[in-house]
Parts: sequence; structure tokens; C-alpha cells
Amino acid sequence: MLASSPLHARIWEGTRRYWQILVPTLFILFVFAVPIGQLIVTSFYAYDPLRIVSDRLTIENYTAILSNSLLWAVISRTIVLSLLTTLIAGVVAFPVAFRLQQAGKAERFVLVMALLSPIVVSPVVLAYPWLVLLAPNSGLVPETIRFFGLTPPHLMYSNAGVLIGLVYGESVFMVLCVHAALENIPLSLVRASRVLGATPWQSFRRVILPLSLPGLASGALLVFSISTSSFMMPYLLGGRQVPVLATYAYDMASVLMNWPSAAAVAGILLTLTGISVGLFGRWISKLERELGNV
Amino acid sequence: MFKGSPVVCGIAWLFCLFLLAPLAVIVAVSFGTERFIVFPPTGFSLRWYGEALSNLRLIAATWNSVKVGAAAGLLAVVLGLLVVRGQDRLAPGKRQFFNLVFLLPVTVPSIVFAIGLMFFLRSIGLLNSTTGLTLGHTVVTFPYAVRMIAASAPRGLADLERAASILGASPLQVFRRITLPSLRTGGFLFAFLISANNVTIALFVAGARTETLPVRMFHMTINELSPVLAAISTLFLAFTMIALVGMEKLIGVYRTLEARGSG
Repeated sequence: MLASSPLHARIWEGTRRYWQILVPTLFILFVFAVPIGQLIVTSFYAYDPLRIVSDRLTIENYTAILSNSLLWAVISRTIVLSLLTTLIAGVVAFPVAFRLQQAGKAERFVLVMALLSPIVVSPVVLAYPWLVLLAPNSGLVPETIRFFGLTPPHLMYSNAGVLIGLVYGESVFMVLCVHAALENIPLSLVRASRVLGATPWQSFRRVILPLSLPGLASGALLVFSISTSSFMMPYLLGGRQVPVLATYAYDMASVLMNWPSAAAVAGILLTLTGISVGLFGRWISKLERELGNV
Repeated sequence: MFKGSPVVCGIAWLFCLFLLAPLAVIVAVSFGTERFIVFPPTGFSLRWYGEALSNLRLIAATWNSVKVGAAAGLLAVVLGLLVVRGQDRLAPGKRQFFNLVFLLPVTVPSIVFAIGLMFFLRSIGLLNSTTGLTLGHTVVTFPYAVRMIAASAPRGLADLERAASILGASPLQVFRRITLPSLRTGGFLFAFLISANNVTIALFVAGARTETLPVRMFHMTINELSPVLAAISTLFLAFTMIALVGMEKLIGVYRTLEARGSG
């Protein structure tokens, strides 16, 4: 019936039926997709000191970045620090998630608030105490290390400081994912393994871990991609001494006002996110397929 | 599993301490007496609060944050409600497609979006404006609003509304009695919190007159690590945590976010 009616009537009918989903879709298209598109387009225009963006199409923004060994150091630092953050988050996530499952009401509430705070509280606020704690001369952390007669390493404006900030700010997402996965494991399976004589470690290794791998994998994707694009922690704790892609893009855009280059750095960050979503996504769906076959 | 295993307990609580103790450091520093930051602090004073509350630029930035947060939160909730209701009418296959579309703002790094938004707003003449900033914050908060509303709205909200109108309710009555209660899920307050705490978007698209509180705090942090910053951070943190505790008690924010993490 719809197919035989005239076009304008079909459009009218479709709009009337689907306007509720169309309004937010159009909003996302205009306020989100168009800016991303404009970013990609801008990254292919040459920089002009007077007008910022000239009308000359070029790929030299990208070739300049990719032929610069300094920039490769920035890219690899971004990847390595994000991988380390993901790894640490993965190790910590299981104990916290176990505790969360067993905790009574009050303990659970404290744990939940601790996990929610880095998600909601502004990263500007989150960075402040670390600037106090890691400060080279008076900070509590270097002082404690000195107290034990050791020489503290450079924590502020170093890779270590950025890593601490990233773990602090982004690792809780892993706990959320792992905990969600644990909640879906039937308790009877774990009990059965224990009844059949498995030690707690064995039932973790053979039953719980394999069944929660998809959750661990989605947590890894989330933590990795959020860490690669994290800006505030690396900027405040690492500064210009240890730039990552996000902080480098900020300096390019806001300090040097070289928008095309900033767009190209952002384009590389976007590509990195795309690659990790693709790789992790395939891993996750493979894990889920395997679990489906068991 | 692992009931009372001391290793598991120990790691869990150390991690918890690692997350919460730094927040206590901010509060402690804010009540100190020294202009140069010493931790642990040596005395007790409220002078940094006095300085923070008489700093006109901080007050203006706070007011900007409130305005933008309220407007973006409202827009996000309206759009979120449209998504949740609109999806009711779609076939499952199409629903998946729209789910992907609405997940995009979460997947794309927010700094990439912020830079893109800066270009876009400049080309339509809205760079440095409150309107442009509100649009950006709506995009950032909107996925959370969808989550919050979807978690609380009964499946088939549209059916409920249709039932009500068949039973003789006017459109206004349907909205007031059926639709509005599903908005009272904290979706707005949570969107407001996320917007108020966001710094990346405003850092790129806000001007000197439209800068938000976190942006002002960012510039203060870069310039000098003063105890005034600790005082304003403590107030901001207190507001955020009180709201978060309330919402967690009332609607279970953690559950809602966890569903996002695994989905």
C-alpha cells in the first residue's frame, strides 16, 4: 500500500511514523557527524599563517607528521601508556569485582562510589591531588620514597606520572565490564567446580576467567580507547615534556593555532581508535562465538 | 567464590584507597594556611574559601557552567526520550542500526570531536558562544541520558501511552501522567553533572566570556598551583559527590552505567 502511493505521501507517512527517531538522528548528524567530517576535510588543507586554513588541498599535514621521528615517539608513547593502563586495569579488576559481589550493603556502597567518582568528577579536579602528591621537592610520594633511603624517580612531567594519572582516571571502566561479566556467570558452575575438587585458584583459572573473557575484552577496548584519547591527565601530569597524541593536538590547535596540523593529529588519533575498535571488536565477537559453542 | 581471601580483599581495598584518598588530599589542602602548598597541611584556615568565593572570574565561570549544564541537560533528556520512544516503533534490525548511530559520540575520542566542533562552530559563526557550547555538551551528555531513560522507562512506553489515550486521556494528560514520570529518573541531573564536569569541549569552543568552571580551573592549574584552586575544587567535588550519592541511592547509577560498559 505504501509502495504504490505517491512519493510525497510516502515521505509524509514515514515522517509521521518515525519522527521521534528522526529528530535525534538529524541532531547527531548535524552537531556530531558534520564536525567530524569537517575535521577530516580540514586535515587535507594546507596551513596558512594568516588565514589559518588555506584553500590548497594537500597531504603534507600527514606526511609531515609521519616523517617526523618526534611524532612517532608521541604515537608510540600514546599506545604504550594506554596498553600499560589496560594491563594494570585488567589485573586489578578481578579482585575488585569479586569484592563487589560479596560485599554487604555498606561496603558495596563505598566501593561503588569509589568506582563512580573518576567517571563523573572533572579530570581537572582529579589531576590536582596528584600534582600535590607527586611534586618533586615536597610531594608525599617522593618524600616517602626518600624516607626509605631511596632516590625517587621523576614522577611529575614523566611517563610514570602520566601512567599513574591514566590508571587513576580510566581504569575503573574495566572493573565495570568485568563485574558485569561476573554477574552473568551462573554460580552453580563455580560451585560445581569446587565440589568436584578444584581449588579456588583452579576454578578461577578454568571456569571464571574463560567465562568472563568477553567482559574483559570489552573492558580492554574501553580502557584502551579512552586512555589513548585522554587529554587532561597527560597534559597536567606530563606537560610538554611527555606529549601524547591528545595533548599534542591541543597544543597544535590552541597554542600554535595550526588547525590543519591539529586536525591531522586528531585524524591519526581517530584512525588509532578505529583500528583498536576493529581489532578488539573481532576478538570480542570471536570470544562470544566460542562461548556460544560450549 | 574466594570468600574472605585476604589477597583479594587487600587488592580491592588498596585500589579503593587509591581512588578515594587523593580526593581527601584536595579537601585537606583547601583548609591549609600556607600559600605554597604543603601536604600534610600545617594549620587550619578558611581564607582560601574566602578568596575563591570573591574571585569574580570563578563566579562568572560557575554561572556559565550552570547555564550550559541546564540547557544541555534539558536538550539531552528531550532527545533521549525521543530515542527511547522512537525505538519502540522500529523493527529489531533497524533498532541495531540506530543504536550504533547513537553510540558514535561515545566511540569517537572527545578531543577529536572537540576540535571538529571548533572548526564547525567557527564556520557557522557560533565559536565562543553559549549556544555552540550547549550544542557540544548536548552531544556529550546525550548517550548518558538515553541510558538513564532506557533503563527506567518500561519497555513499550509507546504502548502505555496509546493505551492511556484510547482510555480517553488527552495528549497533555498522557504526557503528564505517563511520559513525564519516566523522565523523573535522574536523567536530567546526571546529564547536568556530566556537562558541568566536562572540560574538553569547552576548552576548545568556549571564549573568555563563555568559559566554564572546569576551563577556568584548568587555566588556574596551568598558571599556579594555589590553595584557592583546592578550595574551589573541594566545593565542586562536594556538589558532585552529594548529587552522585543521592542518585546512586535513588536510581542506581552504577547499574545503569555497568549495562553500558558490557553492552
